[in-house]
Parts: sequence; structure tokens; C-alpha cells
Amino acid sequence: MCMKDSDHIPLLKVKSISKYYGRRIGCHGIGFELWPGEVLGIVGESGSGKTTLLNCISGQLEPSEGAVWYASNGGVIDMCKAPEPQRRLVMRTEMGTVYQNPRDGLRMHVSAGGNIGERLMANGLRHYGQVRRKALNWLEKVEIDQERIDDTPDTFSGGMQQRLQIARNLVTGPRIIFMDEPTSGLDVSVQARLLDLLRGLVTELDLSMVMVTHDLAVTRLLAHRLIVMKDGEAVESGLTDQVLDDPQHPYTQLLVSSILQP
Amino acid sequence: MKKQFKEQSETGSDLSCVMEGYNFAYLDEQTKRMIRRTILKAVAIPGYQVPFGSREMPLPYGWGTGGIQVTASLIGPEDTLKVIDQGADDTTNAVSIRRFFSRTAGVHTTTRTREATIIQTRHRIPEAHLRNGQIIVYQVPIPEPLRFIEPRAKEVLRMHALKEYGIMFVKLYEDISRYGRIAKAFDYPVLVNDRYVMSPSPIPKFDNPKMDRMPALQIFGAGREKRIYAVPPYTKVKSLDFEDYPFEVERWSQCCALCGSDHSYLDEIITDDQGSRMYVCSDTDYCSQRLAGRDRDFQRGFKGKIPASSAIGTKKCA
Amino acid sequence: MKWMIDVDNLNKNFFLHTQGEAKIPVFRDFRLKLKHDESVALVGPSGVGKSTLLRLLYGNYKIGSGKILVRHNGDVLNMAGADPHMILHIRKWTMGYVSQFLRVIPRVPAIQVVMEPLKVRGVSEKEARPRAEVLLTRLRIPKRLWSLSPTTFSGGEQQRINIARGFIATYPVMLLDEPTASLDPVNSRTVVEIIKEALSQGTSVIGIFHDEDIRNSLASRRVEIQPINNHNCSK
Repeated sequence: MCMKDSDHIPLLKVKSISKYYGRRIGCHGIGFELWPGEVLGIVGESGSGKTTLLNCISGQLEPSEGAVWYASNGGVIDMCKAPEPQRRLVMRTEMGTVYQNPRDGLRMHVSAGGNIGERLMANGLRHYGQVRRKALNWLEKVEIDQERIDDTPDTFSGGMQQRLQIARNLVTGPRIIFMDEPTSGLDVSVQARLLDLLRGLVTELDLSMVMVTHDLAVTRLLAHRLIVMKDGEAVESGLTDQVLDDPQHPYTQLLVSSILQP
Repeated sequence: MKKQFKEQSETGSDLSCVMEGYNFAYLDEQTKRMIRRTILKAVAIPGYQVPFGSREMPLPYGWGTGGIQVTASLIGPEDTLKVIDQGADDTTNAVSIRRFFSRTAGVHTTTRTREATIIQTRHRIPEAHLRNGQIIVYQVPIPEPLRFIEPRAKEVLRMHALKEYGIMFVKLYEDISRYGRIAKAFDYPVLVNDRYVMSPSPIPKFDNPKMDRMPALQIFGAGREKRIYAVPPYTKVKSLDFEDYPFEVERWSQCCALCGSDHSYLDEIITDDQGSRMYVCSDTDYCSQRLAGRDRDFQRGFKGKIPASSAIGTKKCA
Repeated sequence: MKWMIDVDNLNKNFFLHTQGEAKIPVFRDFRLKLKHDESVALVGPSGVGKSTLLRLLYGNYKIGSGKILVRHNGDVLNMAGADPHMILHIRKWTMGYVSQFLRVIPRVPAIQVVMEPLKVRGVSEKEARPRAEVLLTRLRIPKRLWSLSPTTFSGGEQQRINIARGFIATYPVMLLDEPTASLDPVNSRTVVEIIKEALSQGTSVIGIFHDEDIRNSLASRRVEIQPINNHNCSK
């Protein structure tokens, strides 16, 4: 029985994160561990603090309390306290964020190739030919016609824009991807294609993922584990199939019973 | 301070009157001090844009208000000023700024590059090598090289602070993918002292190599944008490029129709309604110095070797 | 004799908060020991909690109180209160589960669905594919279907994909929830063969088999699950 070393250390340790907006609670006292190759789903209705939590752990928002320990390639760092240059370096090399609205995650006036190449060039690649080759390679991986490399994303469909966001993030070989409602606003068939792609990449690249969504069916297919949020608190967490098949908290039961065939 | 003097321009016109009622070089001393402090900071951090309290000047934005404020703060009675616009000493902007300083500061002005201690310029660096001790003041319309790529000013400051210049290369990448080469021909971004990406003002990229390790002090003033930045003497200035698409300056198949130079930046001049054209040096002083030198040589006996007229319209260069 | 799974004093109730706080007890002080090399058939009337027990063993249902000890990778671990990460690890290497339902991402080809348990163990596609092809052929899934998503398959075809997926990797323990339901006799026999092969390779099995003959041919022991006396919903 062989096991990889990476199985022994969590990639991310979130320790009782809270974020307050004045007196209003964004999220309160949330903690979890994320292991390499694991997909964590954060579910809950709008306003439950899912996105606040995601932004806190992805280094985009400073939490009011708590710590986010990340086992970076250069050692364990606290994402909340690390100096900004180090934090941003980690964010653009070892992490990626796919936004719900592609306009937040893509440069709409820059070609697909330029979008994919940006992180490479930000990390010091100064060879046009190599940038180009990697961009073509990633377009193929995310199933976008390579001929579209010089087209700008505003000429792309919604599903293609999401896939381009994924390519743009994965090109530097990150270890963890944060996703905010990546499939909402897409047709069911397009959504299925994206889920399939994500699942394949997670396995192939041993990628970890934290995914915020209100779609329980999506979490069933992609997430290993779930956190159910309500009013800024985690009311239940555990294995995805256990939370969905044997929900304990009244709110989770309500959530599960409110949907058609999760 | 108010001393009478004769303008040393080639036209020899005498603007003997220094205007009464103004402080030396127009700006008040407090303002000059503030600007000098800004300049010191700019020199200390090569390529970094230092904000300053830009003043209203008696000419509109876009006419060199930034450059004038820098010049006014630096100039002393012993200085000799040269002003060029697109390389020429005799265009409106250059003439009026030169006149401005001879009337408000009573300083010597000149068109000769090597005689000047301060050279204020719009859109060119003189062809003649600048020497240590000289100061070149650039008029800058838009100091921020990242402006048109990243619209958020706060994010731009952060990118400079953390030396995150990937986006600059995205711009160059886009050029190559669209045109097969880096298409930016002027205001070509440079990396100063391996630290800050800097906009060199709208000089042609032809002039970029001159900025590298230049013996003279280079100061950039943007009046409307209220920024001053500088490159101290002998500082490394590298034009951004890719390994497989290295930086190149433009070349002409022609030589200067007047002086025959094959190595200076040429302007295309349409000479009639039929589309006839000629190419001449954009740096008028450089061109006339060469012509004068050749005339001297001609008089000394190099007869027939380099007839001035034969260079016109031919590819053979002097 | 070395045991693989030790269920000790297991209690499980379902609380239905959305239905007037109803409490449904399923197990009270339940015990079961699965020995190495053993094949246990769970029997009992419908609704008594046979599938629930398998789901509790697999970590799919949350354990109320008591212990479910599992021998995993040389250690003994308690499924009750185990970290989700550890449960996933147990599922990846120690415990296989064939349910009656196939849940797949639309658009993923059947052969990929079958190969997945090997691939998450880090086996290359080159190595996994021939093994998937052998299983699919044995289970009489026509070759033209291999590259199609099973979402469009018939019930029997989906179940056979499910079995191929369940048996492509070898596990020390297999949980089988009516693996032959909805299969014709010919395919049923093949499935029984496959299970027997796994048994002969040292896999221990806990299963629910409705067919008496199949149960007798596979199980070395029967465990009767008793209904809890107090079956009425109590508050």
C-alpha cells in the first residue's frame, strides 16, 4: 500500500476565522483543514458569509480574528500576517482564484493568450515563444479552440470565459484553487462540461480546491467535504455524502430536503 | 538678480528686457524649495514617481508646465538654457519657453547642446552625447506607464511597490501576437536601475538607448499629473523586451537630406502637393553643427569628396 | 483470528427536524465483528436497517454513539469521530462500497468512471485502462458504450458499471448493497464470480444479498438484524 508524503500534512489550516463589518458579522469562528488533492465545498444561501469566508482564506480580505496557515513550497506561513510581497507572491504562484463573474478574473481587453501568459510573465518568464506555447497548451487542456488564442475574452461564451479563467490560474501550477460560484449562470450542459474538466484537473494535478456554491448537486459531484453556513456560522461540516445523506442540523436538513435529487 | 543680457540665439534677437515684478525664474522661493526637495527624493529613488504640489503656470497644461517648474527650480543666473521641441530649437513651444526664462530669469540661452547646462526637452533627446554636469529636463504628459493597462490607481501603486510588472509584458505580448513585433514606437517603457518601470515621456524609442548610463542627470516633470521622477547620472536604464524579441530601434533607409547623417533620428518632410518628401535630422542643432563642420572641412580642402547636395534623396550616406 | 471490522455498542437514531422533531431509532447496542477472509450476509426484514449499517460502516451516515473500529494500513481506527480526511483515506485504500445507485458527473465516459478508483490511488491511465476493459468485457457492456456517459444507460447497464468501478481496485474490505439487483441471471452469475475472485484474494465482505442462492454461495456467515422493539417514533 503506497501513500504519498503529501498525505501527511494539511495544505491549509484555517483557525477560527472571523470577519466583522462593524457590528455586522460576515463570518464567525470558522476553522478547518484542507489536504492536498481535496475539494472543500462551502454551501449556504446568499448572505450566509460564504464569500466572506472564501475571501478571508484566499488572502483577499483581512479577517478580524483568526489565522490561515498555508504550507507553501517555502514553508508554512500565516496568510493573514505574512508581509504583503510574500503573500502576493504565494497568491500568484501557488494559489488561484476563479471568480463568479469572469470580468473580475480576466482582462477583457487582453487576448486569451495574454490572459494565460500574465502570471508566467509576472513570475519572470521573458520568452515570447515559451509564453505562447504554454498558452496554447492550456487552451487545449481547458477545451478552447487554439485558434482563439488572439481573441479577447469578451468574444467568448460564458462557459469559455470560465474555462479561460481556470487556464489563467492553473498555468503556474498552483496547489490550491479558490472558486466562487464557478458554475452559476451557466447552462446545465456547459456546467457539466466545466465540472468534468475541474474534476479531471483536480485528480491529474493533485490540486486542492475550496469552492463556494449554493448548488448542492455540484458539491455532491466535486467536493470531498462540505461546510454548511448560516448567518456567518458553520452549522455543520463533514464528508460531502455524509452531510447530504445524513444531515444533522435542522438547517442542513431543510436545505437538503428543499432540492430536487441532490 | 535682474541683470541685463543678450540672448545668444542664432537669430541674435535682443530681448534685453527682464520683466519687472516677478521673482527670479517666475516661481516663488517656497515653491522652488518644495520642488527641489521633490527632485532630491526622485534622484534618490531612480525611476520612482514622486508627487509634488504642481503650480498653475502662465501657459496651459500640455505645453510643458511640469518641465518648466523643474527648470525654474533648478536654474541659477550662471546657467545656460537650451529648449527643444521634437528636436528643434525654433518651434513655437521651444521659442516661448526660452523666452520665458530669459525674461523672468535673465539667463543665457543657447541652441548648442554642448554649451547648455540645462536642456529642457519635449519628445527628443539631443543626438550629441550629453556630459556629466548637464541636466536634461523632460516634459511629461502621462508619467504612469501602467496607466492604460491597470485602471485602478491604488493597484498601480501597489504593483510598483512590489515590483509586479507582469502586466507590462502582457502589453508587449499583445503587440507581438497582433503585429509580429513590439509596436510601441515612442514612450517605450524602461526598467530603471533594475527596480522601477518608468515611462520615458513620449521620446521615440530610438532615444531609449541614450538614457542608459547617461552621464547627465535626467529629470522628468509632469505638471498636470503632479509627478516628478529622475534618473541619476550613469544609471542603468533597460528597455523592456523578450529574449526572443529583443528591443530594437528604428532604422531608415535614407540619410539626412541636409547633413547626410546615417545615424540620427529623421523627420519626414512633405515638400509639395505631389507627395515629394525629404528626410532630415529632427535634431536641428546636430544637423547644423554637422553642416558647419563639413563646410569647414570643405574650405580646408576636402573638395569634391562629400558634396552636400548629392546626399539628397540617395541612400549613400556621408 | 484477526478481525477487520469491529462494531461495538453501535447506536443510531435519525432526527427529522423538519418533520416535527421526529426521532427514528435504528440501532441499539449493535455488535458485529468481521474477521479476515470472512463473508458476512446481512439478513432481516425490509426497512430494518441493513443498508443503513453498510452506510454507517462506510462513514456515509454519522454514528450516534459506540464504535466502529477498522483495521486500516496496520492501525486500528474508529470511524466514529474520525477526521473526514481519514475516512477518505480509508475509502481510498481499505474499504470499497458498491451501492445500488451510480452517481456520476454527466459527460464523463463510462470507462473513465470505472478507472477512477485506481487513478485516485495514483495508477496511470495506461495501467488502469486494460483492467477496466477486462471488467467491462466480462460484464458484457458493449464496446461502443465505453466512451459514452453512463447517465444515458439503462438501469442494468448502470449497475454493471457500478460493479466494475467497485471491483477494479482491490480492498481488504468490501461493502456490497444488493450488487445483483436489477441484473439478468447471466450477468448475475458473472458478478458472483467476480465477488468470489475477490474473496479468494483475501477480501472480507459484508453484503446484502436478496437472492437466497447467491447468498448461500457467497456468504460464510449470516448476521440477523433485529428490529428495535420500540419501533414507534418517540420524542
